[in-house]
Amino acid sequence: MERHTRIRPLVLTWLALLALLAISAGTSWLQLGWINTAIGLAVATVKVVLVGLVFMRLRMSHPLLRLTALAGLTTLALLFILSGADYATRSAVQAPWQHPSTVAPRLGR
Amino acid sequence: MSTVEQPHAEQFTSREQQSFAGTFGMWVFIASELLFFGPLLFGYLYLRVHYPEASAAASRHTDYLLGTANTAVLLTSSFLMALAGHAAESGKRPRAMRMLWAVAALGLVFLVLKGWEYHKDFQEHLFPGPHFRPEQDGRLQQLPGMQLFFILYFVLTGLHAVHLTIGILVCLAMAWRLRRPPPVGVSADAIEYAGLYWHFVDVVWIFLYPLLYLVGRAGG
Amino acid sequence: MTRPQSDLSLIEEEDTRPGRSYLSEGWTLGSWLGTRDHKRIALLYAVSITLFFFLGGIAAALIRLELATPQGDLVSADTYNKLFTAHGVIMVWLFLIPSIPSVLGNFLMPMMIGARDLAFPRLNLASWYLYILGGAIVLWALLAGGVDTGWTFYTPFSTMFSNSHVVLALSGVLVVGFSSILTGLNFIVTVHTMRAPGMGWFRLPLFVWANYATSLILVLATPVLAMTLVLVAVERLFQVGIFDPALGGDPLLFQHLFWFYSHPAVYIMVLPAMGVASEIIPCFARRPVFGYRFMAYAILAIGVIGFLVWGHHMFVSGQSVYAGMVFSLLSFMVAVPSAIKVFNWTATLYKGRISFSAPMLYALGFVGLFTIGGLTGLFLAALALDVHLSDTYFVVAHFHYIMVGGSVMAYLGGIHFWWPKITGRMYSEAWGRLAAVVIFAGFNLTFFPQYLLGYAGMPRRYHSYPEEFQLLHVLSSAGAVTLAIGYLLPLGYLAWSLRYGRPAPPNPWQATGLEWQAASPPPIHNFAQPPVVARGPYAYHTD
Repeated sequence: MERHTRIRPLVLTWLALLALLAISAGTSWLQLGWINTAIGLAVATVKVVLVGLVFMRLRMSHPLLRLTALAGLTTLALLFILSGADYATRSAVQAPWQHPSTVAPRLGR
Repeated sequence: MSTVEQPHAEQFTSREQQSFAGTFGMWVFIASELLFFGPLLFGYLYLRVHYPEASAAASRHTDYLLGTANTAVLLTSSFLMALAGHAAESGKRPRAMRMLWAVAALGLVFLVLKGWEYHKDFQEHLFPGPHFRPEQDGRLQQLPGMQLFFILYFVLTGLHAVHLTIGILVCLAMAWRLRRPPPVGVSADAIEYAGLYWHFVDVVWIFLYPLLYLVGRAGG
Repeated sequence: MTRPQSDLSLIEEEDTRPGRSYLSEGWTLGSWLGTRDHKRIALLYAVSITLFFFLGGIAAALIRLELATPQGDLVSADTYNKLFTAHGVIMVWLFLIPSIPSVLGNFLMPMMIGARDLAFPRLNLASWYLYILGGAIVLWALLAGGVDTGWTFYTPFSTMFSNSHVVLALSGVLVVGFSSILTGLNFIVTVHTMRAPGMGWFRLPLFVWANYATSLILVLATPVLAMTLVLVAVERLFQVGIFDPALGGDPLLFQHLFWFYSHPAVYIMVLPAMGVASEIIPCFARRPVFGYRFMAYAILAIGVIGFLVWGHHMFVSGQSVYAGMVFSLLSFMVAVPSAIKVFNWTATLYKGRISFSAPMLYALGFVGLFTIGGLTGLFLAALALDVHLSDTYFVVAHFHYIMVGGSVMAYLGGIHFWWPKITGRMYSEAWGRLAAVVIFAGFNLTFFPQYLLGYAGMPRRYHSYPEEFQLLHVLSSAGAVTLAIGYLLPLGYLAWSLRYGRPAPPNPWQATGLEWQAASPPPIHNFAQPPVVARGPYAYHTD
């Protein structure tokens, strides 16, 4: 009986994953501009959360395991944010030692 | 729940400590793998932000059907892997073994589809290098940044395929060893660790799919 | 059944037989090369890293020999480039990063927490084999003709223009990187899951805290390096890559990814050294460490903030000025926890009964030289000053003060401090002190002139220079000779002690810490039963 209830979440999660795949795959054919990207990333995020919480059992595990996953994500976020800060402000103030090839790419071109 | 103390490795003081250490260790490994793929994703972010049209044009050259099918294959394999872990925990070793064979089989399906896709990419001159020639309606596309997209595409999917291959081999090895009972055969703990690894490989692909296959699908 | 912590009956009964220890459990080569014992693996590492240290030292000797004269007359410019690259690659990846964690950490961590081994002993052995494989590949690259890109492998030179064995060298570093990731993983899991009953986090010795924080960095930062090197290899092999501006890529992307690892890497090299100092200083001052909790928090803070400062290596590379300001500010902040540690080590000495043993000389030398190195790091973190000092010998002096004056001295101090425990022998205290003094003097003579050289404008990685710099260069080279003598001395008297040294008691220094409750050298499983911990660390007199 306990085992029955434990297989059901797995099946439901799988079906949800396939449904989410259909959503992102289907909406990609609609011309929605940046919303296409947003949907794609949002769907991917929900899928990853489902796989993590249900298949990888994070929702019922020791908090240390969730912390470990969070630590990895946070470190990655640091790379993105601080490096991104460089790219976002690259052309804002020109310094004499900046070589054109490292300044040239402009955002949103 | 058995009241007999299960054997554990000599550096630990209990089976429980060993199991938790193993699970925790696999999660630490997964965190390190996330940081391994991370720089590529940052490179991808750089590319998308600086060359949005080129990214979209390049992404339209990827095979939507193969990519979507492969995603479904991997999601299903993750489901079967979760079932394998569940079966192993419940002591149903034959079922766990069958699930692991199935997971490995789906992994192989993914690799076959991917290989076919690479073959097509080569034929369409999409491999970066001196012969890179993306064409649309017979004419060469000149957007700068398209080659960058394909460099990232091949490195990302290639590395993913390497990780997947390792996962397949592990599943095959475990399925084979499940034929024999514990403690000689593999334990439920080991299947759990393999499962975590497999799900992580799936997670990587879940993100790669929209980033590589769904950019600008509806047209420029 | 619990035993009091100070009860020497923690030693297994069978080990009261003379000669029984982890060293006597098997004399064959196979028993060493196939061992799972963390203590034996530590010794495998010790021998290997010593070999690489002297190899990197030979490169340094040739560099200093060349720089004794203004003309580039000893070696060609190309060879000189290969020499400093070899020196950097070997010293950073094949010596410093594994040194304290893989030798002292491997040996002591399980004992300090009251465990029988690390969580994954076979993985530990695999780490050593990966290290050897990576080291062999790097050696192959050197023998095949070397690499001339500098240990930093900057693009586009490394990807497009260098004609040396870049991919081979990168592969070696990649393999060594995996070795360190696995060691870090092992330490993290061990500290979280295998502490003895009563060993709460705030009863852990600071050496354990330091190696734990180091392991976090090893696991989270090294994979980024691995990927970055893979991308350089891809660009070199396929002639296209994301660092190529002609394709729309960015050479600075390489630098962001490389330094994202390599800055935390310097904390991999210095945090364990801080851990060693925190063990030695309380023991030889007979005082508990001042501000234990702040010391532990500072270790974590260094580890975390250390991930936020990498852009200070890129101030003049073309990075945006605003990002430069942010990284400069963060770099000033990372000095705060380090300063807290220096203040606390100093305060630990207050009202102490200080004895200037060899380990203590090394530890005090560490504190002083690390302080100088750290302060000069602040000079470099100031944007305006860095424009002048970047890529000069000032930078070279700064990091050698930390890496050599800091980490190497702490490593030697730790080797001496735990030598009785590891080998069961006492070394000659007179020779130990002599070597420490010679090293300290030689070090300062070598590297202090380099601050002056750098400030005066001497660029780094140049093998010829204007005549007016020669005096300072000659002083530096003379210092290098002294330093070399200093490093050779321990090889001599430590080896001598293995055969002729006085047999060591379990606790020759009357130190606290679980490792001193086991025999010298310890039995194979460290403790007969898991010790039960009832006190905090550093229970030296507190009046």
